[in-house]
Amino acid sequence: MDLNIRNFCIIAHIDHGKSTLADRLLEKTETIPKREMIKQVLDDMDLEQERGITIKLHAIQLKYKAKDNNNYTLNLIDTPGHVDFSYEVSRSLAACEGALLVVDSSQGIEAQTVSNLYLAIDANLTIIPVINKIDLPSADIESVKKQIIELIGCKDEDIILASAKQDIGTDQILEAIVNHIPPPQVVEDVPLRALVFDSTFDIYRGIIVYLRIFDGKLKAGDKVQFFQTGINVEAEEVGTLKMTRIKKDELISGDVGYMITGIKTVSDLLVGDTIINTANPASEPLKGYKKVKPMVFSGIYPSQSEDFENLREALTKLKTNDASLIYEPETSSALGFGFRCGFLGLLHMEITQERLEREYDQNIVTTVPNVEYKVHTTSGEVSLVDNPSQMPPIGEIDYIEEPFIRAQILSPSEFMGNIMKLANDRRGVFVSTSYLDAKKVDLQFEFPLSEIIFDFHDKMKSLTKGYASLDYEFLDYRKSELVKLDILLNGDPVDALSSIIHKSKSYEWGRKLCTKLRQLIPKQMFEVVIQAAIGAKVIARETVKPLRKNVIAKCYGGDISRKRKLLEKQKEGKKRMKQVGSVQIPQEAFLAILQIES
Amino acid sequence: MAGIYLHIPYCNTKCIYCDFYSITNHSTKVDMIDCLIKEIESKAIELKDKKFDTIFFGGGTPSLLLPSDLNKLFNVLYSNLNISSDSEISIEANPGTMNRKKLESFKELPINRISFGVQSFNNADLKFLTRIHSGRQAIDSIKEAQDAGFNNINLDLIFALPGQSLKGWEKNLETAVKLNTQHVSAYSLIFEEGTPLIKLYKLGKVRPADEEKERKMYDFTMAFFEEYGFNHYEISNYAKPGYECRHNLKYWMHKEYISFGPSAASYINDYRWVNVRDVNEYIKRIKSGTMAYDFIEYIDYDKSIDEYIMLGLRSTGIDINILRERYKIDFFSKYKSAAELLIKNNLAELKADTFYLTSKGYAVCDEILATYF
Repeated sequence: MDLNIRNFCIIAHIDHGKSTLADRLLEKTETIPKREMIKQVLDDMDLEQERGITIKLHAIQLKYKAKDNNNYTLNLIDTPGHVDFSYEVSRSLAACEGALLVVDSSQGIEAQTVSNLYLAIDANLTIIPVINKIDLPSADIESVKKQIIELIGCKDEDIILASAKQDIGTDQILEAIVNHIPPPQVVEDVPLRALVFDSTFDIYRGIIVYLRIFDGKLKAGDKVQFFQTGINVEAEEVGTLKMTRIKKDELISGDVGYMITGIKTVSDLLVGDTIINTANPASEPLKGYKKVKPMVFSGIYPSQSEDFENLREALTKLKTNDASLIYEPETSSALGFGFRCGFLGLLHMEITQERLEREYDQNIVTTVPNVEYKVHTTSGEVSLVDNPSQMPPIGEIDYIEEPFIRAQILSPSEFMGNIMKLANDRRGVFVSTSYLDAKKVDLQFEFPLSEIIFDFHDKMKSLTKGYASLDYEFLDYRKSELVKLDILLNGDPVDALSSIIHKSKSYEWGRKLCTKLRQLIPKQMFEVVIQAAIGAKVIARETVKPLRKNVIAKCYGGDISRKRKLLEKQKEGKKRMKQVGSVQIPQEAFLAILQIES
Repeated sequence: MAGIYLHIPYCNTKCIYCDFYSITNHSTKVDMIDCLIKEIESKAIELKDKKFDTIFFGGGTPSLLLPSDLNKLFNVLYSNLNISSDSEISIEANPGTMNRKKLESFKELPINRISFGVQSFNNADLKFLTRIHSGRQAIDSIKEAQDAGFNNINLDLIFALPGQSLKGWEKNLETAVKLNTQHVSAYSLIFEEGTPLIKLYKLGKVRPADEEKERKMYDFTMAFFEEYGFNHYEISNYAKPGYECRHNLKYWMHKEYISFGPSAASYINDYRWVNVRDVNEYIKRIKSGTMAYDFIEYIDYDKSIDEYIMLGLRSTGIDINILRERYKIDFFSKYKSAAELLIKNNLAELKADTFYLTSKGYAVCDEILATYF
């Protein structure tokens, strides 16, 4: 029985110094020698490092000799830091007994931190509050302390003052982990129950499951079952996680480690699932498992239709380390063959698109993101619509429901007016307000999800000089006055440009969308008439005048090879556009709606 | 039958818009002519089965050559290549370098066509274009050439100059037809990379004519020459029937041509190559007996078909029989919808197995090519 294990994670807002602190802990415990230390080891995807956010979860084991002269095993479980991944965060938290709450001394508590903190408190975790970046000239330690005390009711002296960058407070943090976080409850003589909190895909070994053993033990060679999917596998290899995988004969109650089973299909593995022993199965799974549901949907198409199979392959590969990505083939009359993809949120969508382009070298066209609607038809049926072009004709619709979310916005109180105005523009319903301290206000709203998936976050940031932060959770479906806004080019509806929008905004949006499209669609051979319509009713119209002159006047002699190459280039440019009827549409046009100033 | 081109890179001054290879230092001239001769001789065996019926002296300003220089070149050409006796033999001339005596001596040579780089009869336009001649000189030179007995004369004109009015352009055209030449090239000003003109543009010192104005000038030009009985046989070229430039038609009808001199391009036996764009390098290579080209490409099936269509639509059209026989393409199945759309909108016509652009189509030829072919 090993009482010297501590399983913990770090709760922090983006840029509040989580990764730097993790680096210090790795250094202090000599998990990795200082000179080999690449900045922020935990975030190993390029994109994560660039965006300063952790997308995938990881875990790492640290060996620490504490001041009491005992050796401790500290398992640091990393958590993703964005609103889209709150379920994954909750599963990582469930694998821990404690959490470091890291708050930037100049920024104070942010909405994201609060919601993750509540998840941690719900999971009965011991919270160790840390104020980071105390060396900053703009540090306001006193008010951040007040905010923390207000939130978790700790004592002033419990709060550790640190600067991960300057290595201030690191020792204190390590001691607090050992002294305040309880060791895991060890339950050995019962059937195995292990929590899957993450996985990665290794091209040679298949899926690597990251797990926390709650009950019993897991030996290499054991036959095990995933409770939710019912899949039976053999635990080919088990071990703990340092900078590399350390193979072990067995993992026991309280341990955090990995398991390799040879599973290749990521959909067989669900975060939050419970691993049980096939021969001696536990009767109940661990609590907290949820099926992750996508909230935001968008079409992803190859910019050249012959690349459809390549895109499918890229998505398949991407899916192997992003189980929450959902996709299925769809066809658009405008864009041809592509995929309708479901994402946990807007950031998840952006990351997926960027990874497809950068890691998988795909040239893609994406359509405007939308939420999933519940459409009640006059015949009494309810259908789920995640693509505007699938919306039944107006005459067949009784009413439409859309998803609503509860949003928490934390902001300096001086920007309250701006936030209220923005919320009002986005059909927000004000719920409550409370003060974290004299300067920081906590605003609660209810919003239609569709209103915050476009540019709400950017807008909010610019209206609050970057100080406000947002967190949200799904509430319910509510009846709304929604209409489908169609765009017609030379009389033909372009399905990929359709959107679902609140009736009160439809005229203004129709007009603005037409204007934007006029700017984005280049002059071509023939006039292009752009119309916005609701049902059969045209509500706005613009025209792109035809091209009047496009010919290089001179062609003599050897000019011909050069001229042919110029033409090839022009053709390449055309290829990147999508041809709909007689109209060529540049890729940017499909996201025109995102560029509209509301 | 193939064509022959010789590039004479010397000019007295360099015009701001010109992107042909030319230099104002004439010190290499004697060497250059020797090398032209050597280059022609070096190709004689390779070309022994080819027949030629056009010769074109381009530049630069080939009219700067002495009649004796030209005579030497003719001797070498005729003794090394199979040149038909009824060949079209053209020389480009800058009105500022011509006089009656020179024209008379040119007439003594096998030259039977002169192409004058007039560009405009308006002195303000000419000044903008940094031409060395005046409007008056241009008129005089053409008349002198006619007096000397030349009856196949082209003049080049440029439109869509910055600040040029439609009226000003019309006046140029009227002056041109009064001179009774057999051929006019009228092309819109192009802002070519690497020219002083595009530098001025990038500095914001000149603004190109707007699209609408350029189109109006082009429409006017096409209608104007039609009225005067010219045949509009290429985007920018108009000829009295029977006076189409046979040499340029080699390029536009995807025929073969051999070229000599720096920067000159050849197209023979499915290869296209372009000589170095530097007279010293050209001389060095020819003297050392190595090839003078710095670009060569094999025109494979795909390139060939693209070029044939591109050139055809720019000029006299695509011959459906050639498409079928040479390229194994059935025009009516491969380009059916594009052709119908273009014909329906008066951008193209199909007559006697030839698909060709109308004047309306010429104006947007590049767009048509890039979109539909």
